[in-house]
Amino acid sequence: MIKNHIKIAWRNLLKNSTYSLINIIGLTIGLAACLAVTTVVIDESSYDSFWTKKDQIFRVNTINTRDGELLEKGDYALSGTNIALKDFPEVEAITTIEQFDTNFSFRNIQGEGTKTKVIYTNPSFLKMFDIEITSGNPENLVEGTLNIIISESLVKRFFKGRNPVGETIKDLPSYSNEPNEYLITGIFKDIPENTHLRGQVIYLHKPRTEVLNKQQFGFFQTYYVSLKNDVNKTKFEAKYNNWYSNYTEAKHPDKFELQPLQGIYLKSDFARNQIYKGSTQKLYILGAIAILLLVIACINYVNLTTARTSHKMQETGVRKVLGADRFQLISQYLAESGLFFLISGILAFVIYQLSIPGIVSYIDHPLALTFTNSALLFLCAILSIFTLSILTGLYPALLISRINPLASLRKKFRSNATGQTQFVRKGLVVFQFSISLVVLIAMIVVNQQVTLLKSKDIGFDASNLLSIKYSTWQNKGESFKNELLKSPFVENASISSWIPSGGGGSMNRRIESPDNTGDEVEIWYMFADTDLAETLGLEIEKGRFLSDDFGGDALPQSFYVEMDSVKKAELEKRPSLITAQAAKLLKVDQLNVANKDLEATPVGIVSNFNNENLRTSTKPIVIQADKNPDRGSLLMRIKPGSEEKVVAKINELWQDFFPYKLLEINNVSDLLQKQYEAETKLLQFFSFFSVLSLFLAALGVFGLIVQVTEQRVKEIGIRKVLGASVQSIVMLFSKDFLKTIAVALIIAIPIGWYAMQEWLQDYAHRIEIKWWVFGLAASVVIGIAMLTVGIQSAKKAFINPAKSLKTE
Amino acid sequence: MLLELDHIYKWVTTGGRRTFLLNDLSLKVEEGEFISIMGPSGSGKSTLLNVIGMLDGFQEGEYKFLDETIHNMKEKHRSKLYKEYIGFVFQQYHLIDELTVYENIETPLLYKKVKSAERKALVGDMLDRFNIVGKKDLFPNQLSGGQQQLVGIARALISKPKLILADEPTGNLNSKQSDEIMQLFKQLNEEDGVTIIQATHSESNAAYASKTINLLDGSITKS
Ligand SMILES: Nc1ncnc2c1ncn2[C@@H]1O[C@H](COP(=O)(O)OP(=O)(O)OP(=O)(O)O)[C@@H](O)[C@H]1O
Ligand SMILES: [Mg+2]
Repeated sequence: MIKNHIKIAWRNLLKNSTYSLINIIGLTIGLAACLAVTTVVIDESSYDSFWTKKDQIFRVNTINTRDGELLEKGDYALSGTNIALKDFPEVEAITTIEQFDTNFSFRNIQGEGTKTKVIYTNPSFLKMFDIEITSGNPENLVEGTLNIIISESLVKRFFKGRNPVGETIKDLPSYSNEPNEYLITGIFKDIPENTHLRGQVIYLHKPRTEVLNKQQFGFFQTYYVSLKNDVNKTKFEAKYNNWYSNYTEAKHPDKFELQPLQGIYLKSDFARNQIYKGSTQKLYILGAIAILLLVIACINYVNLTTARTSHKMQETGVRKVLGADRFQLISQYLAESGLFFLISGILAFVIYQLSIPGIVSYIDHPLALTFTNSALLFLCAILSIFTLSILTGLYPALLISRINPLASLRKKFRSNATGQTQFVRKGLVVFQFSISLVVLIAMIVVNQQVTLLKSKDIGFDASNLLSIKYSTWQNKGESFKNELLKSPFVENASISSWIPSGGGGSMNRRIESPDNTGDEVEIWYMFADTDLAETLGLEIEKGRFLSDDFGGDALPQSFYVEMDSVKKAELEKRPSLITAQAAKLLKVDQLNVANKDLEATPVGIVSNFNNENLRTSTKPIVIQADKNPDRGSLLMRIKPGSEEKVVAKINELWQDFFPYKLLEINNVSDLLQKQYEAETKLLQFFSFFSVLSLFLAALGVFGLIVQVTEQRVKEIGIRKVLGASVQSIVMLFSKDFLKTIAVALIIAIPIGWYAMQEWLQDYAHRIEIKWWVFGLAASVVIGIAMLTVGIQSAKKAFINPAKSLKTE
Repeated sequence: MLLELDHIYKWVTTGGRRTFLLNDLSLKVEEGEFISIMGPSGSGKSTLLNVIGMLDGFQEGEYKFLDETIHNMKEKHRSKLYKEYIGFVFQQYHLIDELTVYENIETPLLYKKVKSAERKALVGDMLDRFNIVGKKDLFPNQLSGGQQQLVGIARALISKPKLILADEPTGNLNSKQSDEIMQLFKQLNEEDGVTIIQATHSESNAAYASKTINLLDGSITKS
């Protein structure tokens, strides 16, 4: 029976080639896209699920509250928290983790370095996270040197066949001046990629042992704690918080939260120290799109198949009379949908396999799990496709098998039963187009917003601005800068602890708002040499720039040594630049007067500029100068088009000044654009899927109109004989589809508007959604649908009526 | 008693007026009968066969098939009857366009879940008997009307039905073929006890039957 079903299904597929092709193309695209997107979703949600003690390990987050109101949440806790926690019997182990990149010279070649992901932690990390050590004994730290263990893949790559345990390697420092030496004390089996704790090198150090400060002062560190197996996390949280509030003498005691290891990757918008993180919102968008695409593809199948019922009626009627029961008929139609899904599924897997490199480059890290490398996932996919084929095939199958045999033999079906199926079919088309419209609207809005982010005036000219990465200057900073300024291409330069894209500033301070008692405002401070404002190209609105010509503008390094109350009072006299916004906010109308709130003496007011990125609003800023700063980035304003020459010059000088140190030069406008990578990716994603969903919807409409015109070919012929023009016939068919799309517009526009309005809330600087966005989306969709319908119906309308009338 | 129609009325309402297709029609058919239905075109022969075959309903009266009132009959039971009991030969052939001659004839066996080897033998016999072995791989639209008619008859006979309902089974056949089919029907009727009800315009075909019913405007006329 099954064999027979499949044979007939296959024959039907070949016979109705247009119908089959449309179905296969549609399903293939839908399935392939769904597989691809689902892979990303699975990958994102599989993070940190492989650790042995994943249910026992938590990150200690600090919650800073004022009178019950959340001020700030951080992925860190005060140093000494480890010592405090250790005394609780519930705690099994605790470790601190910091992540960064280091350039190691694995081959010991001067000046060469390979950027490597480092986990900086205590030896207890190894046990807690069940790191598999394949060589060496790294738990016992070797005194007097820096201990690292390296991954098996690094060993394979750099130490061909040799066991490097016991060897010493150097790094290529980007911050300090002399390379560090590290002793390799072990080798570990690679940690899978789907973790927020990515590391190719684990750099081990002794835990710090200071006691938790009672005033809530000190360093912050990121702690991970593992609780004993049977401990209730919530209860322990409460217990620790209770203990801490008794212990601390701070006015506003912090609260602590234990964040489960598995949630850290996705639920860490607040975590400033965390390098690798995803977002639940993105995951939802991805998941929704995957499902929608699949739904659109399945709707196409259902619509095309039900539109063909009239072709099937006679056959079904005969089969019933020959003794087929409903189950046999249904199973035959299910075999047909099964065959379509089988072919499309195979093609989809081929496309999927070919697109994996593309996915990897889009998400920017290797995939631990795909549908083709995991037998379980593969099986799940196959089962899902199978289930889907049954669900999708069921409605048309039920519909067709339901018909009365005599009615179908007489072909009466067409006139009476189609009312209901047509309603369903139209509803599905409305749904399809609504989805396409929403995605299209989203794409247009995201595109506008990304354009705004990338092109909005941020208060200074980011082009022709170069930077050297944050580093220590060994007191040679000023002379390096002066050498550089000798180049005719360098107009201005400044060593600054803040550069654009490097956060909001060097530090910030909350002060009470001068006009509104109770409210706090955030003031950002930037420390640099005297030339920062001019290098950025800020305009002076009042007063003067900072300058070395005025002896007291820049504070010498020595000032910071042994800070006492006398010196602290001096800070108020420090000559500073403030932005116009800061001046307005704090009502500074007189320059050269010490301002208590700012702890500074404004000597000039400069034009406003955006200190962070366009997600946040521009903040009031204070710029202060240090003499020959020892730490910072070097920011340079260069002549247009001279980048290559300047870079060459920097390289040359660098060799002289800092021969052992990594040089990293960046274009500031590149750095700024990089902040909007997430948005750019979102835009790519929406563009891709709006094209895909439109294509699928158009494909569906094409299939429908092919069927409809075929069924009505006789009617077209008669109308022509009665004197109808080609246009009027095209109109006849288009009108129906236009109505359907109009309904889709009414549904999609409010949804699209609302969703995008919500999305835009994340940006302090955002576009306004204008009416033409909807107009554009609507015209694109209407245009595509009408083109499809128009061409096909015109084709039929041009047929000589004598021919079409004869065929019935 | 195989089946019994008791005062059957069937009408359609057009423009508020009833047109009777079957008008107070009563009929008893015993197992093993061979009945011809005759009458002018439009007299209701096809309609009556459809009602007997449960393809069509009616408004008034009672119809019992094997002592069961068909009003209460479930769809499942009906498809079982088609499978086990009734073979149809249609005026318009109603072959399945997507299937070859061979497959068309084989289909009722598939629904009866006959084993593949047995199917092969049975279909082969049938092709032989109707002399259409050479056409077995052709599709219906590649056959002449008469050939399609033969395939239709072969398909009706293959499942060895106890009741054959034939609507103008030989309308498209030449008189020699027509006689052969009638011989075959007679043989089935006499040797295997198959009940046959056929609608026909041809006096000579009607003569093969043991009983003839004359229809006029949906009623049986006394002959
Ligand atoms: N669904 C229907 N609606 C209205 N009238 C119908 C319907 N079905 C059949 N008729 C009418 O019923 C009458 C009987 O039709 P039927 O097909 O039974 O005649 P017939 O005796 O088989 O004729 P023929 O010898 O031409 O096949 C005809 O007048 C036909 O027009
Ligand atoms: Mg008839």
